[in-house]
Amino acid sequence: MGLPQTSTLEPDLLSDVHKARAGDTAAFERLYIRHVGRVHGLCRRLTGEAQAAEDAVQETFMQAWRKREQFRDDGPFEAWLCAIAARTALMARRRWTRYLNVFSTQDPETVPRPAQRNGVPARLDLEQAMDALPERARQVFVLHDVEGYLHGEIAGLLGVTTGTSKSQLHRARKLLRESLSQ
Amino acid sequence: MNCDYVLERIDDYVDGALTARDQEAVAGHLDFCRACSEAVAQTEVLLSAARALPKDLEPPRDQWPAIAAQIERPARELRWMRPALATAAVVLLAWAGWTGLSGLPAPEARDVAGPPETLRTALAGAEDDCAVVRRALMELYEQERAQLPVEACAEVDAGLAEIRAAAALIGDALRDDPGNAGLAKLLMTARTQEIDVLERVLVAVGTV
Repeated sequence: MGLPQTSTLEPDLLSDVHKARAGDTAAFERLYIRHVGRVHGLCRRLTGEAQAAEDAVQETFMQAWRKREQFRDDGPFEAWLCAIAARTALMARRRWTRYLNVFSTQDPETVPRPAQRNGVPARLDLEQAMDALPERARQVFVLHDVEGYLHGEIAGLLGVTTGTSKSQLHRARKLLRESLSQ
Repeated sequence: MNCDYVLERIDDYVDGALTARDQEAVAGHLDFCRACSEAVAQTEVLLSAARALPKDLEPPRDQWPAIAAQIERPARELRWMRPALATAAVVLLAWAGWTGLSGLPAPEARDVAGPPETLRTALAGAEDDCAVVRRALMELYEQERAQLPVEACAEVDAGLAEIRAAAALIGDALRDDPGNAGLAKLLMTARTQEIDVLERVLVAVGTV
């Protein structure tokens, strides 16, 4: 996705990556500070829910710590971290959806559009409209149109076919057009 | 070419993913269809807005303290728990040996030479140690579930459920026969098996 190579761009970042890999938690904290906004953005939009996003952010950095020796200098650190974040956020959402299914009679795949929900104003900004999308449609829209993933990559992440990814994107864009035009 | 046909292909058109022939055909339809043209324009505006969204979103609170605590805690707890657990198991096995039992006797094959109270106390201590280790490992396992295939988690969960069910049966038998060292040994075997399963899973995903 066009991110700069870690080894050719920011010596401080590379140094912290090496130190963190060797077990230096202070260096890992600096990496956390540098990247938490990016990770949170991805997790928040993929999960569509603040608490699930928070869980996913924490889990992402824990996994990055546990697997720090697997990171190789020949690739961008942020891309590696975001790959972990995407998988984690998608799993976090699945757990959250199971929780909602136990304690709610509402089907997450048929959450009403914002204009119909409990007095929320009809005209919403894009972030709110994305949150209100059915889960799978939102995930595909975020990955494809916000993050720039290809349908083949999305299909792999979600465990679906590229055809399903395309149809969910179509669904998401249609719902967003309708929602944002009100 | 009608509107339904065009609207089904609107995404591929906007993304430039149609064949040259289809791209031209859709463009021709848009020249005279206001509704479809509007849908294309709205989609282009939507995509432009989506791509312009800031990638960074500031989190509502600082999660570093929780992350730092997790980085430090599990290894520390497990390091000092393992020797304690091993000691507890050795104590019980020694007790079972001292009572003259061999192998894994059936619950009714009592041959206890020592007082039940001593066995009960030793078992309670060992169970407490096991519970602490088990809780720590379960916490790690729950955190790692995201990285495991669903089928693998199902197998691990089923295995753990079987071990716990067996431990529950042995525990029930022990309540009726508290001095039975063979049952105590069986129970400790079940507890350590549960911990072994969790440890093996976590080693496999690189957590421990």
